[in-house]
Amino acid sequence: MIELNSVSKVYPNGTHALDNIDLTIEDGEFAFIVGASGAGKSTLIKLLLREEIPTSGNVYVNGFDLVKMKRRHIPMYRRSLGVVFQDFRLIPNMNVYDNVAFALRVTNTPTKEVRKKVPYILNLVGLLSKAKVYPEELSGGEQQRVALARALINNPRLIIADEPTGNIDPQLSYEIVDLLSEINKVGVTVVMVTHEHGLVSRFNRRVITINDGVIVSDGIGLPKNY
Amino acid sequence: MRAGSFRYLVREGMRSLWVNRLMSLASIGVLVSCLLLIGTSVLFSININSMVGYIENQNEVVVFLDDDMTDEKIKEIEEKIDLIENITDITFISKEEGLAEQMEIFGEDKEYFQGLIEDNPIPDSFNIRMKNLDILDDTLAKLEEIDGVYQVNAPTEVAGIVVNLKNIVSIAGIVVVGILITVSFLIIANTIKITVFNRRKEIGIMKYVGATDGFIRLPFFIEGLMLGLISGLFAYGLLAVGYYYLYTQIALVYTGWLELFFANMIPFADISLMLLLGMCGCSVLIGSVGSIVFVRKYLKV
Repeated sequence: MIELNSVSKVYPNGTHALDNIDLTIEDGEFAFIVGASGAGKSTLIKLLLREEIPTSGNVYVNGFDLVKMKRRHIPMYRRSLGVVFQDFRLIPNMNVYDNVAFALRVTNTPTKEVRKKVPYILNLVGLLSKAKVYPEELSGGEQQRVALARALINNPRLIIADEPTGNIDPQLSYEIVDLLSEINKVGVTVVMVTHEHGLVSRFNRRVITINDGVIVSDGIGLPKNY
Repeated sequence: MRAGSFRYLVREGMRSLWVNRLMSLASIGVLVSCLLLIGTSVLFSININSMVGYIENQNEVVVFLDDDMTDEKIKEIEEKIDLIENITDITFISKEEGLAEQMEIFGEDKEYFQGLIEDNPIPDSFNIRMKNLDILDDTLAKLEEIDGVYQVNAPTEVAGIVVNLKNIVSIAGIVVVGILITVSFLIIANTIKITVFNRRKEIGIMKYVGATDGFIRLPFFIEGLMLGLISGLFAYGLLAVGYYYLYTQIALVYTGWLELFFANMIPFADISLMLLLGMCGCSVLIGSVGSIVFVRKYLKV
């Protein structure tokens, strides 16, 4: 569950990125966060990843208090999430298998278990045959599927996807969201930031619209004025 | 951390050494160059010190004794001289030997001394060498205090020059080595910085996946340590070969007093262990600690 209580974020340069936001996303929900660039979507994601802390207000995710959290507890928190980024963020000098396995290894998973889980999850995203391939040899869609596999491998309760389709073909974009949708069906909460309205309109899901640091609409499907 | 994780991270460090081999090679190149520069100047400096030390040791102080000494009294004086710390070498020269020596010096004119054999005016004496000319005056005073010592002759002027020379040589050595170490440190630090900078994205990604700082640092630590070790061994090898070659060649080239001088070049066997430990130790330390320090900057995600 994600809970933001009157959250504001002002950057040192004076930018008011978020202005008194209240937001609750329940366990098992699938929510799109949309808005123009500069609206505050990225700041919201940074708060959820505990990259930044709000200037005021509280942020609770998966039972963690992100504002009061000590620095050394951040890794623990992040392991409870699966994160997918627009630029994939795969480690370039590790092959597909090792990239996915890395998320397991940081949790001190025994090698025996790594060898069981990684092929299983790679099979799920349809990339088992490319286990030994390096990220640069893969297409954008394939790289994002590897990133998704990495996000899924620790059985997270929440997946945060920051413009996961921003760098891939529209057709493959649909596949990625479809995959997220399937994951959501087994009970995983999914929060996806995007500005591709076409994609959002094809899935009848909760849509949270942010503009100028304020939530301007929140409901099922795209708001009328879009 | 589990033993399995530790093994994985050590393996990662080794793998990274190979994966980033171009950068590894550059780092090794920089480290080896710096180590060679420092090693050479240290070797040069300690050898010059050793050679000056040889000159220092050539000083000879003559202690003349009072007339009519009994064998027991002479023995007693010798023991007292031996107690003075700075003394390295004592040789007793009897009246007869002293006269013979003088006659030897005068060569053809030695018949003038014939008449003196009956009534030898040359007193018994000790030829003394000392370790440290810095405290020459102090040592001379102690010698003069001994009962039965008539006079002490010492090359105080030469001693002054040698002491000055020694000081200049050791200070110059320390200054040069100090500058080289500082410059090397900056260059090496910069190299490590670039290496880590190249991989800042990788470090950031690891943080997003939930890796702890220690988990990210260990491979970098291992990598830095290995780079340091390889560079240390390589530089040591080069220096050893170079030194050995020089050591054997110089002995052939120089003759006369220069030969004596260079005979005081320190044999490689005497310093090899110190050199090996020093070079490997320094480079391993700078490699591993440097990596950890510079990784820190990118851990704040």
